[in-house]
Amino acid sequence: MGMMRLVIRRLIIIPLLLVVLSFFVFLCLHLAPGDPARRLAGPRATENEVELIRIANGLDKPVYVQYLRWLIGWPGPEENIPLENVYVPGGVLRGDFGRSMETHEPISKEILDRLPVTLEVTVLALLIATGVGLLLGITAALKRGTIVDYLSTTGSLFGLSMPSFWLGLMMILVLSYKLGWIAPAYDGSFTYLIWPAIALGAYHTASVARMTRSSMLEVLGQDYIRTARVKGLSERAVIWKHGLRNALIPIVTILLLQIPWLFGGTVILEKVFSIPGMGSLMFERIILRDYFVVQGIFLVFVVLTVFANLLADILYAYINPKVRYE
Amino acid sequence: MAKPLLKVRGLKTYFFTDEGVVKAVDGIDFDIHKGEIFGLVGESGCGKSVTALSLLRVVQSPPGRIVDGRVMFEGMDLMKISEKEMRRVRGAKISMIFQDPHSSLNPVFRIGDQIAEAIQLHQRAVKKEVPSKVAEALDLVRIPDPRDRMYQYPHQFSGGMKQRAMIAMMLACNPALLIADEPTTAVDVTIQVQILELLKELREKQGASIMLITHNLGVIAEVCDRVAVMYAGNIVEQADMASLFGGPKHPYTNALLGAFPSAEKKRGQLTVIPGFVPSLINPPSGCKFHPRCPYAKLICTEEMPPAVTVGEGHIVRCHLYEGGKG
Amino acid sequence: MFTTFTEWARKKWTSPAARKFRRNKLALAGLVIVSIIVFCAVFADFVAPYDPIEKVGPKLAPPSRQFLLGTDVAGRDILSRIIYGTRTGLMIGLTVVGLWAVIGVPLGLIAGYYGGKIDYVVMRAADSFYAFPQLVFVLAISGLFRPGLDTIVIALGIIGWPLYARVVRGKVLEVKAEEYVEAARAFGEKDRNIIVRHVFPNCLAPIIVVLTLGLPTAILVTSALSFLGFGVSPPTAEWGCDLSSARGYMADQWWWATSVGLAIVITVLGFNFLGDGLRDALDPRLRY
Repeated sequence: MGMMRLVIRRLIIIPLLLVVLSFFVFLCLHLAPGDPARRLAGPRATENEVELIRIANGLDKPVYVQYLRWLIGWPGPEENIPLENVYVPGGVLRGDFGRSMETHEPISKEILDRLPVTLEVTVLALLIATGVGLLLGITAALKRGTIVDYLSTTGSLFGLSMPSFWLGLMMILVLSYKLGWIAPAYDGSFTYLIWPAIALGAYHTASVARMTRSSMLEVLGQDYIRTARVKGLSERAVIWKHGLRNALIPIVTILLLQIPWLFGGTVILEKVFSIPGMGSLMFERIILRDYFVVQGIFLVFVVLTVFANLLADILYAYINPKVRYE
Repeated sequence: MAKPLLKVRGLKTYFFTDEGVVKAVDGIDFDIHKGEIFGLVGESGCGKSVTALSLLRVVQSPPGRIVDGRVMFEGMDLMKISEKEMRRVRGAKISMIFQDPHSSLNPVFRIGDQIAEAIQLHQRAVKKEVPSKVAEALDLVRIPDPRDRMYQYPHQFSGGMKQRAMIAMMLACNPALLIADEPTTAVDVTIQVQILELLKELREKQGASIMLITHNLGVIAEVCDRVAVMYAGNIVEQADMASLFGGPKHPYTNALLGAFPSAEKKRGQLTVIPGFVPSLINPPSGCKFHPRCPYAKLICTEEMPPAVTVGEGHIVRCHLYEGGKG
Repeated sequence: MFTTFTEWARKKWTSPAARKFRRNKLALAGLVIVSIIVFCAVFADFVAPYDPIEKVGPKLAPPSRQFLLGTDVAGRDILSRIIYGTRTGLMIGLTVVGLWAVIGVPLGLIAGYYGGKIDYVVMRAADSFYAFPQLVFVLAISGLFRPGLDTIVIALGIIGWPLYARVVRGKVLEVKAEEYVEAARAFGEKDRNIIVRHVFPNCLAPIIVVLTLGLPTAILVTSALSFLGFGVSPPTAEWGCDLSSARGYMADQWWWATSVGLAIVITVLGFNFLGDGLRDALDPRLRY
């Protein structure tokens, strides 16, 4: 059926897209100023030592060779190179993200340690944005013109105007310093994560709520809704089955657009709430100029975004049958 | 004559807009009998569709509202019963097919599912039987390959097929009265013929009563038993086919018939009705047709003429016939 | 010349769009807020009670008659810093939004007008930007290259154009189907002339709307980046930057963080109200 073909087509494009994007990520690092070899060797190293490090990490080779080694680990370092000199990623596809210039640990380990927390906050924020946003929007649409609608619309406008980091700060101020309900920084518990998730998701909740309201209103004025009523369906079936399904189409589009911004937002909120996630790691290491870590996290975010978009694409095709047959 | 299936008395539906109150339906009376095909004819914008929507109480509200009238059906006044009771009437007792098949079917559900919905709501059918009942319904309206087609979406159907699918859907409700709003306007001439044949068949085989709304006199002539002519929100004349076409009484009916091209009119010109369709916000005083009527008298500008019976089942609203004579 | 301008202004003022706008209370409120902000930005030297960079009082003083919002950790007046912050915020925001428009509008015009392969390429490029974690990208870039204000602005400018291209392209497609465009082509008018004189003026309305609505996004993002320490460097008066300093003193001097943040909220809110009102008045079907 059309659905299968669409999924297959998307799955074929994904590897291509990832290669292109990964090359872009690699290029960003490559073009960055600074000489990693000199940095690795240290301030007191001799020219010889710097040169040795350069060769060990393949930094003397042309760009495309470096990229290949970065991607799949071939051509690897030469025979007699001691491995502790190698910091460059030896094949991200194999999971080798290289080693940190600061901690000398494998980057993949550092990333994996931090990934769960970041994912938890992001997914929670997305769930809040979708759930609360849809609810608010539908209620506002159904009770159009009433005080509920007015409150919801104004609330949405406020939600769209608040910087997430400020919201996070205010939450800490009120909930922690003034009321003492929660710790002023991440205390390791899963339930704590609801607060940064709310701060992160507020903007997107407002965005979804507004889109939902206008989409529902538009859909409910359509002819096929009248047809459904004339068939004798209950009002509930008319709104929730016939109306909502159509209204969701532009809403899913908007949600699709929000996901990359959510990833960016985690970086900020992890700092505000002192959460040891990928975002704060990236931030720390940017300051320390720990290039490969920054690059590795960037790559992970890119891959996550691509897959999130894929899921959203499939969801969209499921909701809107017209797309399946183009 | 047998007791009518549907009796409408004094129906008034107004639309309250920024520009003023649009008196779309301004006090109409008519009867529909069991097993008859009743035509409602008039120019675009004369209030025919609004009449139909009013019978089912699905007028878009705001800005529309049924302000007055009684609709007697199966011992109930449809204007007085609760919404819950009205829902039991819709589909099951009275159903309606709409003018624009492209927008009247829900684009995200399969045709078969939409028909199945009607079946499950209005017929006693075991779940397993539903698919074959759907196929039967599609077959009834002569859609080829019904067992395959029912899994398709509306956008995969042509205009004529969509129209027929909608008929199938509404018929699956087994209504006592089917309202057809311009069923032939949006489709090709060849499909038009098929649909009209279909309607006639339905009356023969299933004893359905049909209310056919159109601006096309040719369609009326094809299938109807009785006709009502509508102008600017009022019914100006109603009669059976022979009386109306043979001896039209109202000047507007006369003009309409004169303006209608037919193979029988071999000589003479098509008459053009001078003037324009009146505004429904500020209609002319008295009889709304008076500015365009060649027989207008003083009284026509002052009073709306009362309904007068001029023959067997033949009613006219025109000052020319006051006192029951012409 | 002057009379034709007043004629034009009067026509615009009484047009149905303007009347709709005037009836919208939120939009008017937005206009008021934006006017105040712009006024502060332009006339900060006169409006602000103190110099924003000099130490003018005791450190971390609470709000008083002398310092309406108190002083910060370096003894500077918070209110003055907020007022001067409007200038910084608006300038940065306008630059970023300007970049978006300068890149996006021509691309949208070309893609929409010429269609075909050019359209395909531009739209695919625009789509691919959506597969990218934009904020992360800007951070990575500013981290790897020079983390200064110009890097931030350029990086942001590069990632934000797709929306503008898309909106303009949509409008161009609409306008292209109009008869006067066909007529102009039939007369043999040069494409460039047609675009400039017929197509582009019709795109102005949606462009203005997305610009007004894009400014709050730009302000939010740039202040977020300054909060993290990228972008503006102290002692420039910038809201995000100040919030970062205020964070450490939230326990006792909570008014500092709260008031600076509220400044951002009110500014963004004002532009959102205004942008919404403009959209409802000019082109309600505009949905992105």
